[in-house]
Amino acid sequence: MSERIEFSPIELDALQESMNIGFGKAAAALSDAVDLQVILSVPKISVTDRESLAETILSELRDPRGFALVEQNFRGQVSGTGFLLVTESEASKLAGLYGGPGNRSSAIDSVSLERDVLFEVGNLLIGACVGKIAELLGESVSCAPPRVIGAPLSRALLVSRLEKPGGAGLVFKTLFHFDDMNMDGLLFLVTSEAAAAWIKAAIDRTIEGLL
Amino acid sequence: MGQEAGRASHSVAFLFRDCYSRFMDLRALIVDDSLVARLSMRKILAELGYATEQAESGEAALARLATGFRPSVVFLDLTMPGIGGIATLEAIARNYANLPVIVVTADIQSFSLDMAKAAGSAAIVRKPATKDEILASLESLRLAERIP
Repeated sequence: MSERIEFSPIELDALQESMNIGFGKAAAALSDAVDLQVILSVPKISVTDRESLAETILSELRDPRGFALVEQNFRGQVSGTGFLLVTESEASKLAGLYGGPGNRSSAIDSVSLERDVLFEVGNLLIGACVGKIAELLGESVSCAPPRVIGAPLSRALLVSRLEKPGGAGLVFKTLFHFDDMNMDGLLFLVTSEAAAAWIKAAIDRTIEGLL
Repeated sequence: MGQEAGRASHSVAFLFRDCYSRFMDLRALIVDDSLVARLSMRKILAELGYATEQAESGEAALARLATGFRPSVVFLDLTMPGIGGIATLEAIARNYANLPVIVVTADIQSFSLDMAKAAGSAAIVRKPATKDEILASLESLRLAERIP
């Protein structure tokens, strides 16, 4: 069993700032697409065991009922998975921002539209965020196409999706909120243990140059 | 030849700025909740001849200004816990109208940048800020005679 990687407060601060810049870029792209302001929260970074990831994540959500989940793997030195998590009702609101569901002709159209919008929004947010963080660390990543899981996705299914055996990974977590829509969601990136070690070394090189 | 002349001119400009800043007592207040962001900005500003003070929140920055501390310029983040950047900017504009504030932000949405302009920012720099971008924003304030 490998030893858990620890991050000092200044290392976590540097990662938080990277996430802030990465998500700022992602939010600007989304804001341009839907013409609404996205309110950014201060990101949180933690080292979390995969076994307890779901409970950590779910405790952040305002509405603990059905969920929609988008997941996207990224590879490179910074490897891992990005997740976009919104409640079922908020997935429907997101679809509304892109022109639905008012124009839908059937329940099937509604489901297709929601999945398509989630695919696009997930791809936009995760890709922009991961890409910028990697760039700030002097690397690049390649992203696989996102997968839309649900909605609705029950709490039990969500937990089974997020929690996997294995070591601890870095969790970058940002709550976002659309102004005027009373709508929010959660974007989080989970890196592999090897990526966490690489990130720690890259961050340390940056910090050394500042002190 | 042209490139060499350009480099020489650039070096002279920096040499001049260094001497100038020693006499002008250039001071900046850096407001950001991220220590690393503050250290990055401190490093850039030190290279440009600025002495710096730091505040980790809008509340701390306003408290420092209330003591009578008067920097030449404030560098302000927007996304911070507490009252946040926009409310801090509005308070500075209201109480210290002649104090220029350069917003340094990762929130590059047009909505947010428009809000910062409306709240009284003198310039906006996107994170991660580079030395050239900071220098350009300071030059724009100097040309407008808002800083020495």
